[in-house]
Amino acid sequence: MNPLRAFWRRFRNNRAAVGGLVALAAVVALAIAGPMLYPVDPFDMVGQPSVPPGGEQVLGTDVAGRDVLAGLIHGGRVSLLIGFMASLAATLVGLVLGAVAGYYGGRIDDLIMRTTEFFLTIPSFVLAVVLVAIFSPTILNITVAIAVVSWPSVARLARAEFLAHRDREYVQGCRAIGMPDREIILLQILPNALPPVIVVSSLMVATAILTESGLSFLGLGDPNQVSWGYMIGVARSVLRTAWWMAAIPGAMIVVTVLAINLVGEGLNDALNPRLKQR
Amino acid sequence: MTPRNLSRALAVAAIAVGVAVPAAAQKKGGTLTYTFHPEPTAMSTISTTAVPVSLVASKIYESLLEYEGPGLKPLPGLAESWTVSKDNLVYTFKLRKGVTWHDGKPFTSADVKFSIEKVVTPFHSRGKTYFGEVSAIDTPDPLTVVFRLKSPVPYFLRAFQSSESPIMPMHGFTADEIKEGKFRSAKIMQAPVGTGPFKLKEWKKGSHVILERHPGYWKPGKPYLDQVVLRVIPDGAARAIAIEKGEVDLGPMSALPPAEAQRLGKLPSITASQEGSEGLGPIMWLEVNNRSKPLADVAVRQAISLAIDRKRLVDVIWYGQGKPASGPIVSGNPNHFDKKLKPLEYNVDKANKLLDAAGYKRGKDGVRFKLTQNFLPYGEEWVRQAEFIKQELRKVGIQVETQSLDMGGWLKRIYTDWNYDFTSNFTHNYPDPTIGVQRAFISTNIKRGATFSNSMDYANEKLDALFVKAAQTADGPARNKTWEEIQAILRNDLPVIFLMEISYTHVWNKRVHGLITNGVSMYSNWDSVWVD
Repeated sequence: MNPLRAFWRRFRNNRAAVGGLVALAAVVALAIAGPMLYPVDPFDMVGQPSVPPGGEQVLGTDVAGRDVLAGLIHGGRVSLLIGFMASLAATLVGLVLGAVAGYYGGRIDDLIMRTTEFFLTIPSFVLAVVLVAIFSPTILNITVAIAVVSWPSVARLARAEFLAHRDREYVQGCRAIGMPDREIILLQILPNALPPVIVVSSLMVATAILTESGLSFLGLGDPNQVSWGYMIGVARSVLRTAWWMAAIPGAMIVVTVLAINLVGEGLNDALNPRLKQR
Repeated sequence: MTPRNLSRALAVAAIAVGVAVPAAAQKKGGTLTYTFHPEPTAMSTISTTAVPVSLVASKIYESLLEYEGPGLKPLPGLAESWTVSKDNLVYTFKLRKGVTWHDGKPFTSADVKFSIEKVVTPFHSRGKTYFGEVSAIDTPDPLTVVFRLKSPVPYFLRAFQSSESPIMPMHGFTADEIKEGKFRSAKIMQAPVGTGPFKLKEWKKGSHVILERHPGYWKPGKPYLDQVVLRVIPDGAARAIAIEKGEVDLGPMSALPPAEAQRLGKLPSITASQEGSEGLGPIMWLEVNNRSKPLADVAVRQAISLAIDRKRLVDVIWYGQGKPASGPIVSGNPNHFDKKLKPLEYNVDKANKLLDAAGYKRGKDGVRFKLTQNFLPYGEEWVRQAEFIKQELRKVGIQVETQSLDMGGWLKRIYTDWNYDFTSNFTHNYPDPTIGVQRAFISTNIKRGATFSNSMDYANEKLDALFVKAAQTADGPARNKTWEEIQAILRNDLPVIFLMEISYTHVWNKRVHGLITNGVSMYSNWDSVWVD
């Protein structure tokens, strides 16, 4: 059977994961197509401040009279973009370092793992705050900061996988026929080591969105961009009088993070079928 | 009683109470608790004049005079009376008899001479503005002080506020501190000894400050309060809740977020007032780097000014806690503000035409040119304002990128590196524009590293001459004329884009009475404040 089709069949068996996928697709579609369907600048003052939902603006206005729905759509773009890019970057870096450390072992392994541990000992959110505070809050810097605090877990996982595979018979066979290290790592071990890494990095997207929201909430977001965390941060000062202003973007974060987690679970089941049967 | 009768009876009762309140006797005793953040770093304005320090130090220390009304009419304080020579060069103060320091030692003219000469003039951040022209201070006897000036200082009688020129005890400093000039780090900065109505009882850093009544205070029967307590509450929403629940009586000088101040002001038990800060005159503007084009172009600055809807800015971003600006001097200033002036105009069409005429044509994307803006890192309203300005300027084809910096980075970029396009900023007018306005626009104050100076590189010889003239003319129609000319020049040149006169909002529980007494009410000594 086609392996992709087998994968899909196993994924489909997990109903929650399918639900998560649908929700995630909806959020992504909203972020991509939304600005075209609803072309309102999220920073434009379109009405009176703090108008509750249900009026001229469907989801009301924020403390500065800006359309909450427009913020939700544009904010989704930023939140998702940062989430996906940061976790992609972290996965690539973690994978390369983990592969090298696990495959070669010895001193290079020590060096890479001690560095990894150094990063793991610092609370990741605090490190992200420090990095963003030092290198001024722009989208690029925030993405890099989140990637910097996220790669170590991927590196450790990748190292463990490579360590487990490097002395297997198929790898020894490759060495025996004189295959260069680079090819063994990329073409032989990587496909076998990838499934757990994919699961971890898919969950990392959710963490990255939360981290970005946390940074924006603290006022460390890019001041030129609206994001969900930023919207909650803005609404914080009127939590007593306009709770919905924070609740709406909050709900979007919950839905998105939950969807990503469900999809991650589904990926885990589909990519490591034996785990499930245990 | 029917409901209608009941309400009528209540209305009559309310009128009766309303009439009765002013006549009610001030009550003695009780505690007034206020909240502010950040907490003071010292107990004297010699160390720094930051708001939290000025708030608490003004209850502990006094100066020679007290002040009445928004215009700060001088009244006797530590000085019982004073005379001014005809040429305005000699000021003679007769000191009050029987005044004692908190430690019981007598207060004399030697303390005054020492405080002004050795402490205030060199170390207070505005000491040189007030006393730079003093050539000698004589003390012919323990109860007489004579100030001799080199040239007239029109605002000299406004210099004797407790936060501006606190009189400190000579015996409060150690010989070493005096010898080495270590006044700002002296022990007395943390353990104050003053002549004011309250003395320090307890200071728990990060938590609270307790001031208690000075039993030997020279005004008979005062202060009314037993204690003044400062509670440090770092979170704005939590400060509001503490006032709402009655745990704290007062949030002075916009201590609460504007949304919360507005909400609490509607409660029957709470007053939110913007009176009582006329003598500070905070004015907010966009500080503009005049060094390079396009901002070096007057037309561009005028266009930016025309493009901003100040009324909306005040109403929406600041919840109405302010007024659209008319120029460098706040309209609440009773003496020097040119009353003919209206708030600066808002007219997008005119702004666009000005920019077109000045040769800044729109590109294909509708953008004429790009600028970077910074903002004062004082809290959320300042971020909201930056976002608002960005949107307003986009309407006239100016694309703005916002860059956020912490306080240290902001000060360095604006005042040391001079590497910025424009930033929000605010300064105080203080009781006289020579003190608060001149420093920002006179060309001699283009000094690298000096904070709240002329960072714009704005130099106008005619204006410089007018500032010098105003500083040396006695208050009166002639001086006001000079200030009118200065206001007209600055309104036209717009070296900064004047935006808003900030109104400090004070929020207090109605059990507190007698708080608003003059134009610097929160920096007054509160000896006549009483609580139910």
